[in-house]
Amino acid sequence: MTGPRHDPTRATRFLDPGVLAAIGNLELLARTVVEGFLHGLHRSPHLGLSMEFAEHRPYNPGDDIRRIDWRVLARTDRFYVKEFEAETHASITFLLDISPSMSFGSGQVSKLDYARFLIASLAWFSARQRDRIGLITFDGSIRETIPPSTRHLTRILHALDRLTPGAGGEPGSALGSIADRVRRRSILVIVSDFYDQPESLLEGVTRLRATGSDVLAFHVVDPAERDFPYEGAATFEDLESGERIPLVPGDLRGDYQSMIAEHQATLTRHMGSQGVDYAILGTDQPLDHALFAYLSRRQAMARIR
Amino acid sequence: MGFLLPAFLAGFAALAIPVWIHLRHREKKGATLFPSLMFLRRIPYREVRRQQLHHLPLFLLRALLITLLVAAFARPYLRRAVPVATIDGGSREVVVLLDRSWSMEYGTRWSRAVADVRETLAGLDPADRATLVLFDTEASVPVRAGSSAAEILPLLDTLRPGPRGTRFGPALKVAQDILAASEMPRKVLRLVSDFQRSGWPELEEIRLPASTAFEPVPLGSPTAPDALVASVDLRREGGSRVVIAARVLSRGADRPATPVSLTVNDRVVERRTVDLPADQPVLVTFPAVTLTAAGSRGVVTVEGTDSLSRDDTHFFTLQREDPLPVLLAAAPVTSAQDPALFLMRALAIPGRPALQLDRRIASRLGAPDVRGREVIIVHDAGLSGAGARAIEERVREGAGLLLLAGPGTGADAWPEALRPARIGAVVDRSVERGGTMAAVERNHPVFELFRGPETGDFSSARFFRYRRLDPVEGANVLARFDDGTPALVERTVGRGRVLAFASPADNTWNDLPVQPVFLPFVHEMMVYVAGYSETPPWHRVGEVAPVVAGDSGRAVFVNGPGGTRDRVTTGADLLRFEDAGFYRVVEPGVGGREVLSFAANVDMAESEMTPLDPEELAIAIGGAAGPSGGPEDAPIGTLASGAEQERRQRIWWYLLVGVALLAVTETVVGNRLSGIIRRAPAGS
Repeated sequence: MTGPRHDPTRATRFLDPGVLAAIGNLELLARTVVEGFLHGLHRSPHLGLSMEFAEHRPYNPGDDIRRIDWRVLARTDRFYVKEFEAETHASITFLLDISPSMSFGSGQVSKLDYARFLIASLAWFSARQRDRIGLITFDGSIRETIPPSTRHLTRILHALDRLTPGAGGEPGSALGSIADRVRRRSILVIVSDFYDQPESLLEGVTRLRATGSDVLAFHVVDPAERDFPYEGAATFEDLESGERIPLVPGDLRGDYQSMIAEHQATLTRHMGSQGVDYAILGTDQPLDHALFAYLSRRQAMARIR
Repeated sequence: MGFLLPAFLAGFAALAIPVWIHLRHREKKGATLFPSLMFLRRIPYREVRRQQLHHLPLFLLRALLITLLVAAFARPYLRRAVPVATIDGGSREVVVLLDRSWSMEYGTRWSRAVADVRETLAGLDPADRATLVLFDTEASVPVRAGSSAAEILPLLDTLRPGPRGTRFGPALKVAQDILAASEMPRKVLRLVSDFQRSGWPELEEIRLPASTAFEPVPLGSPTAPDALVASVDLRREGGSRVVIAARVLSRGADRPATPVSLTVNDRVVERRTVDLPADQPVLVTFPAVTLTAAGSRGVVTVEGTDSLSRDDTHFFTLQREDPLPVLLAAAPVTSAQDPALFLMRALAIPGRPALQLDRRIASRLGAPDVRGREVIIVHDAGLSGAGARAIEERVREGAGLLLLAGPGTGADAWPEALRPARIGAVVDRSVERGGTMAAVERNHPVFELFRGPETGDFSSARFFRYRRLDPVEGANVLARFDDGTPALVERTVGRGRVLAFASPADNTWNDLPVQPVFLPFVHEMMVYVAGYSETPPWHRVGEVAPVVAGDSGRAVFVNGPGGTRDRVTTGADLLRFEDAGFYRVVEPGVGGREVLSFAANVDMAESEMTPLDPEELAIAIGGAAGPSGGPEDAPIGTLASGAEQERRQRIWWYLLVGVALLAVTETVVGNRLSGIIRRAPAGS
């Protein structure tokens, strides 16, 4: 996945998940992330969008002289400024996995919190673009649906704010169910930890792609899932099923990391073959990684249009 | 290598702590939550390895530390018996200690012991001197010390084990004195015993002369099957009925269908058949027994053949306890609140002795009201006239009197002949939130119950008013208020006791009646003034007891269990229990009436056969024993000199140094590991 060049030394301080976790208000958090991100980017927020003419109004001192309509000036000898209205191009639905495994967090931020921050930021960003935004939460099945709309930012933020982990289940089958509900071509952003068999996940994603939608898949990973740093003997409990297994993790670390790497490689390969942008996000990574991934995809779609 | 204090070796159980820590410490109590085990589940059989020890070097370090620490406390020493050849020639001073405790009756112990002594004495040279010391809980020298073997040998045939337990201390002390005084070049101490550990409480300070040869002859065995009545519990149901429960034990072997009987007044009233599993006490509860007025004698017996018969029987006596007649004299109740209510409630609570309380108006007391009372309580009232005279007479006969001063107690309220203190003015301390009882004579029987820590907080009671008491000559002040004024004063009048308390039990002048100490305090005062003492249902052989039966100074006879008959004077002589069984106190003359009986039992600690290592005893009294094991192969070992003993026992010092070094190493290694583990995330 490619995207605009990014200077990591600038304005990313507020994108650190640990810092964001201290912000109680999800809207404020999203605003902080996006503004900070864009500030670091030094770019117009209206990226990749065409603007639609709305009306003329008389020029007032202080208006950008680039917005003066010279043709009208030539005809009327008066200064008029063009007022534009941003086009609403895209319909974006965020698909959030709320299965119990998402509640895991070895640091300050759980995967679910990270996903909430991410979706809130993307939603707020998209709302600024006047995209229609919606939200579907799922575990083994669909839990809550907010249909895409330009006015649903507050509703989405509220839903994100109050959501709690759901029951266990296979996200692959849930994605298939979601595909049945997608009525029009849109951008589908999946945020999940993808704990399912790759074949099942691929089937779900394939059905989503079959709706004609663009699909972005954010695979949220906790550092402890990635590094498996446990040492002492312990009984491990599966957050999804409640199953318990006594283990000596230090002995299993190598095998486990190999399996995780293989799982992610399989997902990367299969999703790539389906034209799905797949990105792995560690909960210790700043959110701008995800924003860049999203932005580049959004730009690409705008160019196609 | 041996150990002076082998009991500390039990501390090796502490090795389980590092094992547990290293097996389980890193494992959290709760489970470590993990998003999904779908990958971990695919890795086979690895969970078995969780039982492995982690941080093996640290574990070994800790285990070694505990091992050395335990070993140091057990005081190891080196066994180095001095060869026989090193002993100089010359005549010998031989002291033979012969254990005659009742455990020596077990099996063939006694005959083997006598045979050993006989052989030892027979083997002495004419120039040698011998002393036979018989011991149980005490030591005696039946034949003059330093006699020849020929003088002692005839005595052996007349000796039998006695009814007492084992204590090595007195016998060793006698041996120490004899050997220390001897000028013989060779000194020999031969100890013939079953070496019960209970006979050596490790408190004896005995040091035998250096170079004394010590010959232990252990005759005991660690496993000695024996059935016994370990204890008897008597639970009273009212004054005249008693439920008897016996704890019966079979040591070393199962005894199915063993009959256990209860005999009361020479009649078998109940026989139970019980299965006795090895080394597990069984409680046998018999039906309640009704006591006769004269008291009863009871025996619980484990029937059947046994190698040790003395502990098969437990004797006890039961006396009927009639309620103690108590008279409460107080002013008439004129208001809704009865000032003596708290006192009456306290006295109505059942206890031992049981009280039979009657209340009278103090000013109307007459001789009939006082007659037969064991305790008279005068609560905030004056005494005068016939009532006062009757009380004085009764107190002189032995009754108790408790006087409580209050608002209604004038200066002359208490007769001079009875009062422990003159009554003074009222001390009013209500403005300063009252005074407290600050100084209490806790060694006095009234306050003995409150002597322990955290018991009897008299300072919690506030005394707002009280009478100033001025003790008369011969009176004792048992408690004082915090301003130094006497609170409780005691005096003896004739054979009776009188207590005077400076404040009433009315919850007005003080709040003592609503404090936790009030009930036991009242009860203890009653017990004291009544001169009540519980008669123990049995005594141990070797103990003594006063013969109190009716009037003092009477001549009575005591018929002992072995057919003995001794003349004693009641109230003056002490009866010594020389054997187990009943001691019946009877009036003189043929067919004299039995007035009292005592029961005596052998010390049950003697039935505990756990043996003492003779080497341990030898070290404790001054050196290592020779490699003796019995009368046949008993070469003489020599008691080591003090320096040599110290050198042999010094190992513990090196062990402690090792412990200190290991502790430092453990701290360093442990901290490093902790740092590594802390850097790992939660759950690791």
